Amino acid sequence: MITMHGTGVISGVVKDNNGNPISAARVSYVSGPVPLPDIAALTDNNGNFVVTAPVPGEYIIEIISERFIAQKVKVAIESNQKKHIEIILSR
Amino acid sequence: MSQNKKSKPAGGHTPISNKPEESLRAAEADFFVSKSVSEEPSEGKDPKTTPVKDKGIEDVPGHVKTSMKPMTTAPDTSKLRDIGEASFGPFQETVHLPDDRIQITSTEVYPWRVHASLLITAADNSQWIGTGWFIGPHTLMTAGHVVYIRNSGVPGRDGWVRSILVMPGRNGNSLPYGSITSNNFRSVTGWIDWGDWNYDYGAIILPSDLGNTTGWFGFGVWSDSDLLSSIGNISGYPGDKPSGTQWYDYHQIASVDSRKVYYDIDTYGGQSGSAVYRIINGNRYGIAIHAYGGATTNSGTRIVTPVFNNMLAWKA
Repeated sequence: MITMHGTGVISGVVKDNNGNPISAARVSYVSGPVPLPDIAALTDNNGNFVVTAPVPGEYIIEIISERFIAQKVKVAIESNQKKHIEIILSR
Repeated sequence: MSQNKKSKPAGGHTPISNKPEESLRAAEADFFVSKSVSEEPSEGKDPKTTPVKDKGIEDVPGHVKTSMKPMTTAPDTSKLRDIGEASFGPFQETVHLPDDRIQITSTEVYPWRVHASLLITAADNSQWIGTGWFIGPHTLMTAGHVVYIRNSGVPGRDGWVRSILVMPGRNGNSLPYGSITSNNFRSVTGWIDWGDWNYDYGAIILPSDLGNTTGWFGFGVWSDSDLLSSIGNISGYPGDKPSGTQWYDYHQIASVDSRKVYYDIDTYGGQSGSAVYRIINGNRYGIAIHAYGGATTNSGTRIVTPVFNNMLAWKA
């Protein structure tokens, strides 16, 4: 059982090289300090997403969208931390 | 294993619905199980069923498994590290290289049409993707965290999801059985109230009997030794592949405990809720509901007696 000590939140915005938001990009954890639910978030019309980091630690998030090159981002989260990242996807 | 006795759902397996009147009916139904340990599948209408191979795997042309060595070391089942510990090594992904997944393109036939791509709208209107699978005319199994979100840390997100768009047998932009929206869900107290991943399972109830067309998988309870000698099969909708495409992989079951099944079957975000199934005499039976990706093994909620009982009630 995962005991939720200090759940963190990772928010982000996904854009292209021209600064245009990318909607419906898939955002998934590919690794983390604990086993993670195999569910993927979709970015909204403004390219935004918010995912939960259940425990403090280092997470790798992958962002995938058709016509763009997928990207992985490493994010370190501390207890109860909210971190925002910006991802630029290239074609 | 006989089930001809009354059994009361205990603790975490008490069923809960987002439709309160349904919770009561399910709880009452669980008090008595008259069926055997396994529930049979159905191939639906005009199934054109694809064959299976002798070893309990699907016969998918072109699928080459690079390694089927049984695991010789204990899988990483550590569930919680000390809060301050932050380093768990390099990339440890749910797709355990090499990637043995193969795309299924004949998704309009059985068994592939049993699996549904899910588009989930949470209470805060955020959207997610997952997978479900038919167990009856109007019931799909999925992960508990697909239908109910806990401890997200995001205002307005926790609780039952708002709706799920179910797309059986989806193949990219093709929806051979259309799509149908549900806002009628089931899970159990162990997930809803405790957030215990040992109880991470749930169901989607459809407003129509689409499962009579697609068919459904059987499901059952088996011993540890039975499961450990089995090959697990998973087909679902991973988010790292072209949108809405179905992908399949298999591997021998790595380990089990009283509530979970562990396996080195490649999965990715979007496959939460997939059936982990075995093939017996050409028939498909769910043994677990895929839920988590881990460092060396992935895992699902094992179908044990109380899970089986809830599935029977939800299927009715």
